[in-house]
This record gives sequence, structure tokens and C-alpha cells, in this order.
Amino acid sequence: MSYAAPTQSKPNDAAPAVLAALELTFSRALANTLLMVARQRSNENAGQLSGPKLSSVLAALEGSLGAYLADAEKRLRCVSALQRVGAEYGALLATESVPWVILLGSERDLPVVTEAARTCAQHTGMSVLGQTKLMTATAELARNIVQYAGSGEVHFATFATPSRGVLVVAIDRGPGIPDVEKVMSPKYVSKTGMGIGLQGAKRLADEFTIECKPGKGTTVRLRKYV
Amino acid sequence: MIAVEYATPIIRLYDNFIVALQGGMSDASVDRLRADVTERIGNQTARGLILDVSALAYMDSFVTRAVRDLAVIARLMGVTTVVCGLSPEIAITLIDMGLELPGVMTALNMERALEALFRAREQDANELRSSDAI
Repeated sequence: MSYAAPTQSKPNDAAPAVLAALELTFSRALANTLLMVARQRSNENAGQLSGPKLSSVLAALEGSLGAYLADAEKRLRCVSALQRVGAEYGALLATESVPWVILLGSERDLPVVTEAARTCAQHTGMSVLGQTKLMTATAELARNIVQYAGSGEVHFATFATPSRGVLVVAIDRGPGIPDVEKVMSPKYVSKTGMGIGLQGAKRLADEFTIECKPGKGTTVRLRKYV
Repeated sequence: MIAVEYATPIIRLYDNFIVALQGGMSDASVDRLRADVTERIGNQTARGLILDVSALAYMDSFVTRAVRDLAVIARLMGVTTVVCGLSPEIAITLIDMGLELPGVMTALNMERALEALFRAREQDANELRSSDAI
């Protein structure tokens, strides 16, 4: 995971803020240990945490969270707290990272997916309108997965080149869409609303690709720029 | 996550039912809301239904369809429906997606929605009166 150069930086040490963010989820002792391990792993043992140092420590922290937090929702909350600290202390924007993979098993997971979309969008500094569009597009993809494939996963990444934005990849191993072109054509009207959902997501996104192998599943990638 | 399906509360105010839609709607909760609303409309005399969507962070095609269906069902039962509280962001997103709420009365907020229902009722009453005069 790599991070772009900081856009604005606060001179002071971010370590207390990072600890405070971790303590929302972990005990104080574990929070201290996690930070220590992350600093060692990114070779930033000494000195103040700021700028690029903070970026690499945060990246190491985010990477290690998966081992401690199995619950996607908790992980999401913790990552977004860390990213807020990063933004506040001028650290980072991931250039192309995949910090979150959210597993979709039922409609109950939808709020987690849309919340992840919102957090990513906020992290890149997207407007409220952009956030709403991204959440809506993500909800369409996620609901399609639940409805037609039963389960799947949604990956989120923020990127900084060529311009800032959020990448959403929705993957399922369901039956696939027999005739993608027909479904995506504006004339298509389905009883279940699948066409409306996918077409809607496409219209809301800046880039939209759909790959489909009948019987093997569907992968939808969409990008939304700030 | 908690595995309990909460029913959306349906509030009665004067002759109107007010439903504030919550985020994270599932197929099951939409079905349940539909059943609850139609049952209440059938059992109790109501003339108006207000669907408040101001608590929603987004409206995808599923939620939009659920709202539209509720409004159409209520209209078929003779109850005027007003949808209120669409945020500017949601309104723009709906238009960008090519979705609309055709044939559904909308209002900026709850107050305006109530006013609209009162006005609609007065108009009805006036029409009744003038037809009596003839």
C-alpha cells in the first residue's frame, strides 16, 4: 500500500491522536502495542509521527487490523477513525489501495457497504452530492449481488491518480447475466428492476465496466472522481 | 448485526398517517411496511399518507420503487399520498439515474406536506358544496 505525498501537514506529533483513534476499538494496552508494532514494521521507531512517516505507519496499522478485527463493521469504523487522523495531520491519500473488502451475505450487510462507500468518498474529499451518488451506485451493485447471486463481496479503494476518487469493485460468483448488452440497453425493462439498478449505477459513475461469465459470476468495477 | 426486523412506526395525526422511512430497508421490511400501511388504511379512516424520506442518506432504485409502490397502493385505496423530505442530493441523484416519482405528490418538508393534504381536502369539500348548490 503506498500513499501520495501529503497535501497539507501539521507539524506536531500525531501519535496521541492515532492512539486515541485506536482506543475507540481496542483497550489502551492493545492500542499501544499495535502502534508499536506498526512503527517497527514501517521502520519509523523514533521521532514524531507526521507527514510521510505517519502515512507509512497508518498503512501498516490498517494492514494489520484484519488480524485483530474479524467483524467488517468494527474494522471499517476503526479504519475510518485512523483515516480521519491521517487527514487531520496531513498524511495521506492512498494512491491505489484496497483497504476494505466487505463480504455480502444478505441484505443486512447493505448498510455496511454503503457506509464504507461514504467513508471512502469523504476520505477523498468528495462533495455531499458525490457521496450520495457513490452510495447510491454502490447500493445498486450490492443489492443486485444479494438478489441474484446470494452472496459476494465489494472491494473499496481510494486513489489519487490521475485525479482523486474512489474505486468500487463488486464481485459475485452467481449465475451471471445471460445478455449483458441487453440488460444495459436503455430500452430494457425488467420485472425485477435489475436493468434499472445497473443502468443507474452506470449513469452515476464516471467509469463503469461489467465483466460477466455465464455460470461463473459477474464483476462490476466503477470509479467516481472527486 | 442485530437480527431483528423492526417495524417502521406509522403515526396518526388528524386524518393522516405519517411514515418516516428508515435507512437499510430490506425486501422483508418493505413487504412488512406495505402490509402495515394498507392494513391501517383499511381499518381506520384516513385521508392522507405522508412518506417522510428525510432520514435516508440515499435512495437507490429499490427504495425509490418501494416509495412509489406505497404511494400507488394508497391512491388505489383512495388515500392521497405526499412524499416529503427529499434532500437536494437525493433529488439530483434520482434524476441522474433516470428515476422519477411519476404521479406522486411531493413536498419540501413535513409542514408543507400537511398543508398540501389540508388544501387537497378543502378543495374536495368546496367541490362537494358547489355541487350541492346546483
